[in-house]
Amino acid sequence: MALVKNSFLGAGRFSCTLLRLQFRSEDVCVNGVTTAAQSPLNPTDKKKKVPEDGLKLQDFISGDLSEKSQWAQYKGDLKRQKGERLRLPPWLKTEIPIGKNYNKLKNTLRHLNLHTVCEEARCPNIGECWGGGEYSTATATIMLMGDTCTRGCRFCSVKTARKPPPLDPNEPYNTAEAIADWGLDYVVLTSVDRDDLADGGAEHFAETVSNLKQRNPKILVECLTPDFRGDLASVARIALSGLDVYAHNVETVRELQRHVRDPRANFDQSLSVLRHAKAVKPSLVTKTSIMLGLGETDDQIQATMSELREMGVDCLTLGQYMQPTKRHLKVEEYVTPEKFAYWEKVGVEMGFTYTASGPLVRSSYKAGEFFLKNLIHKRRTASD
Amino acid sequence: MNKQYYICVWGHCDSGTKTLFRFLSLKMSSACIRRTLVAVSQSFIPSSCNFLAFGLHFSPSPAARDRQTAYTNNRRFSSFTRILRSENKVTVNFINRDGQKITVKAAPGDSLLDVVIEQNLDIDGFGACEGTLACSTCHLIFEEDVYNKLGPITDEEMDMLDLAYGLTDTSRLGCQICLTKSLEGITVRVPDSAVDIRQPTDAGTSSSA
Repeated sequence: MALVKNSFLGAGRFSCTLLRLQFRSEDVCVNGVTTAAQSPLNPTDKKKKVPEDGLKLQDFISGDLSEKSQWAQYKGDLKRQKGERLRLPPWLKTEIPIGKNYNKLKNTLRHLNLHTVCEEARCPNIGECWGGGEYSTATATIMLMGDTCTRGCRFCSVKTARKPPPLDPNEPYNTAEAIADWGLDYVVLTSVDRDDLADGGAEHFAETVSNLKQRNPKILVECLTPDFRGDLASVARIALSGLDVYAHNVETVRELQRHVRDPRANFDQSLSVLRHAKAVKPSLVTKTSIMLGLGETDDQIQATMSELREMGVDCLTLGQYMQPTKRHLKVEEYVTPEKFAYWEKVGVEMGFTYTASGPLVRSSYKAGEFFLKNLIHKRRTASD
Repeated sequence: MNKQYYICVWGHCDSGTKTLFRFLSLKMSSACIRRTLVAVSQSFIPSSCNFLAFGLHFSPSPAARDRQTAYTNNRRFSSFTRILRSENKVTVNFINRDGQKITVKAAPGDSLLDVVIEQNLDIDGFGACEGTLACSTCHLIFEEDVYNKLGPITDEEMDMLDLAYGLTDTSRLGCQICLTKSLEGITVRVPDSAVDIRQPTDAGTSSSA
């Protein structure tokens, strides 16, 4: 009896068939039996008949089931209908991140108690950026001031808390050490929102940048900053800390700001941050980013882009919003790669120094390559 | 499918002289368990005695409901108590942004945010901060009499509620309202978000190349 009691508490999941002298026929608690019908939706149901006893490993390995068709042949929905949850189109499918570089980076980060937005916000490019390749070194976007934010935006899966843990005083030093270890020539730093701190964490951020520059004066630093609740002194502190590119994302069009972002953030506040950074240090390159697929219209995107250009923003990135968890907004539309190419053309025509536009493009995705390539290109055309 | 059953039988004679106890561990299918229990009981316990026999098995794969709780809610220490408490449910009605009514049963003690998340209700962007009072996405509108029955509102909740879109006098944050028996059958309205979902998206301009 004692053994049975233990199994009651220890196992946690069990089913019991209780039998009395009179053989009552109902079985109590039949929910221990799992039903095969509860398996997740099979995407090939519409096209292929799934065999009775399920798919075998061989079916998956052979590649018959993958929908690696061209986007032109993709027949699924791209705009969300009511009650529907859109399936991921083929151009957004990425490889699972594995490999030597990936693990090495992960170990370095854990060892130094650093966080990356790549992991926290579940970026689909993590395998590509962390894996590096023959042409590019592995890179990661380090997220300063911890992995817990004080705001809960509806598109972002970074952890949220009212009072996140206090800042790690060793973080500026550790970050500089990690980046020196990776031997990069372009690095992106970002942070969570820290509305619980008086200066919003600007001092900590600026110290990290100066540490980095001290260690390696040739490195190019890009900072993706919060809006500090509109506190322009904090913005100035970071703008003057020695960085090369000042980035702050407006995330979406003006009309959707209230719907998508935390109520403490808004379009004009973000614009003022970008404007002030430029005002404080005119040689600074400013950058921003918009997510598409949240229900905006073409006119809204166009209007937002013009407003940003008027504010003097130099670089713009456009990417596809992807729902990180079920607590977040559903994707309203999967914008096609051709449409992204169209927006890139519009951006260039408007006069942005560079416009990076694609479904998997994120604010810091290949930021170094884009930046350096454009810089060199500009210099060449200037000298010609 | 053969499962590992642990059978426990004990009997008590009317005269009170003997209490027999047997414990067995057998592997069989669930169809056989009843027959086996009968056979075991009859062989061990004389016919003049009362007996009780039951067979337990440790399910290798969790029930669908447990799967949900296991993956989504790791605050629960032991999920089996939820199966046993099937009579203790509280009915809650949600009126979604589009007017659709969703009726669910939930256990007392769950917050309304837990109910929405665990039962996968189709409410967009609900509970972004996971119940830490750092956003206002779980904003819900209650009826007047229900609102008065709810617990006191803390300053932190009020701070976040002030930022909510479409605030009313009977609004609360869903993550702070825990269900009790007295809230049986309440109707809760999900307020419109900042974007009216019935806004016509210019079909044709957005997705064509």
